[in-house]
Amino acid sequence: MTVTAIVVDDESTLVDYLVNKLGELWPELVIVGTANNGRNAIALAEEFDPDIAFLDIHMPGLSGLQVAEALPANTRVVFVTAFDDFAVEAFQRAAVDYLLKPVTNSRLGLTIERLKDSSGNQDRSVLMRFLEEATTGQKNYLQWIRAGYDDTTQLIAAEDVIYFKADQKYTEVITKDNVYVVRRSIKELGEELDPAQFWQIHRGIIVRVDQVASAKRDLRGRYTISLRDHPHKLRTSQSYGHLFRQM
Amino acid sequence: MGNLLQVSAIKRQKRGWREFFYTTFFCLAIAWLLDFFDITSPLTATLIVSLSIGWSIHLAFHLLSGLVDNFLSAYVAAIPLTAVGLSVGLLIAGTLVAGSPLLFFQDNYSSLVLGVFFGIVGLVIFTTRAHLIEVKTQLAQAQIKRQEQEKLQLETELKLLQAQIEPHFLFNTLSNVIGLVHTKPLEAEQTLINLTTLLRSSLRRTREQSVTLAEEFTIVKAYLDIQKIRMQGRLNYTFSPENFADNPDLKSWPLAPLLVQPIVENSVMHGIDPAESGGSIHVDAKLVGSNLHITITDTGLGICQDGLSKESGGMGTGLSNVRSRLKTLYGDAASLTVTENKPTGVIVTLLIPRKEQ
Repeated sequence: MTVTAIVVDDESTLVDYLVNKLGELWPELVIVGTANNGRNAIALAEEFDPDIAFLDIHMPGLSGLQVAEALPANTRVVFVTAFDDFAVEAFQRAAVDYLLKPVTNSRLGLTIERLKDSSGNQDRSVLMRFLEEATTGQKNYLQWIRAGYDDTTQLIAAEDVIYFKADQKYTEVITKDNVYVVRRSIKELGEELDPAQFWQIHRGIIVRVDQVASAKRDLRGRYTISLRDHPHKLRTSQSYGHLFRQM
Repeated sequence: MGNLLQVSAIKRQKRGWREFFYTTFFCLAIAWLLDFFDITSPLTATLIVSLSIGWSIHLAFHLLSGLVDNFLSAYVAAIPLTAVGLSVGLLIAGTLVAGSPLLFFQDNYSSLVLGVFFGIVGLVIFTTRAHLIEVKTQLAQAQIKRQEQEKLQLETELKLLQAQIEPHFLFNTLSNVIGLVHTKPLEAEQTLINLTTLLRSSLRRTREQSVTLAEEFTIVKAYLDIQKIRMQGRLNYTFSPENFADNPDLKSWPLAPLLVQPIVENSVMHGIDPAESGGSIHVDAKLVGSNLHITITDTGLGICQDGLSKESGGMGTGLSNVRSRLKTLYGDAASLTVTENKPTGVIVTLLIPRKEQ
């Protein structure tokens, strides 16, 4: 019975290299196809239903991990990666084989031994669960704000913003030198900003904490905020006063 | 920043109590003085009048200054606050001494006159003191600010050291060289030469304060050529000017190292590499007045509507490093702006002033 495989890597040099190495070390293996991206890999797998898939992890479009999820269960996967990605730990825990680039003869030999010895299906669901665990909890906050200025669309780094001010449906972005307009409500924006860096101090105002130079309390428990790099004074509303109270 | 706020708030609270004791002490001193020179008597009445006025003024400042400060400067605001405190104090003292609130406004003017006199004396003393404290606080704040800036600079330098060569990039390049060494030995050799250029420049970077634009371009090209080996037809690049034959000024223009390369790397990693069809990069340098304008245009994925790079949200670390370095090196004279390219991609514009070494 012949064993079939596909080799998938976005770098064609590395595809050729792995195909050559496999030819040397496992001449009986039949490489039925190679692909340079995830989509082509899935198409290949559907066409040939290979026994083994060597998958590069880091690829444009679909990653090797996403391809593995789409492959039929009887295809055994060997991941190939250039560096100790966070995924390597997951591979070890889920007993899924992987190769580190540059691939050495001895390491590839070991993988081949394992592939020849083992039969039956891999349980990739375990792997996927580990990977999900590793990737959840990393919430990405807004880093660049797409805003209009004159007729151009500018990207403003969150760290350049001094404060946001609601302007009906839209939001004004105040930086040291300019005022930009974002076509989104301040509520929407606020949900995506890093709460450690941006504080809502009023229904219509979100200020970058770094920019607060001083907060002065008046009789009604509201605070007047002076900013570091901007002459504007901001006023908190009563319900947001607690942010400054304990200070 | 937060600690600055906290410090000043704690100080203010402590200061409130201290002010109260000073006020009390001041009032006792006045009462003793008036009694000693037999200006008023008896001592108990003098003490009641003096403390009533002093504490009322203190209370007026404590309660009303937040309100009045919004309209008047702190020093001007002190005058009406003292007047209010003085009047209330006299009303209370009149009630306590003779059971008649208006006593000191109708029959017995001596306390009113003395009150106004010592009110003015107190006003001058306390506002001068407040002013001195203010100056001291400002000095302390300036110091904290300076320390923060120094810290920022150290952090930036550290990041620069760490960001030099990414291990992922190094391993990938070496794998490619191994892959090429038998089949395309000339390409393998060229890639190793490019890698050497990049490694050497990154070692020099830490020691040298300045490189020429031509040198920085060489580094950027070495980086792009390595990535081209890896990405094949998916990456293209152009430079203008292509060579510096007609531009000796531009060629020898001094700039801090590692300003252009991280931006190009950012474009490749987050814009072009994640795109299945790849893209191209154009680097353009020109002199505008006394400033160097460098524009890096890519046709990669760009930044999607939610403000994160389409791939992983990783866009920005390279850019923010360059931004903070520009700030520490050139202050506000340099700038980095990011705009969208049409139909896709990102345009990064660097504006760098000439800095003599």
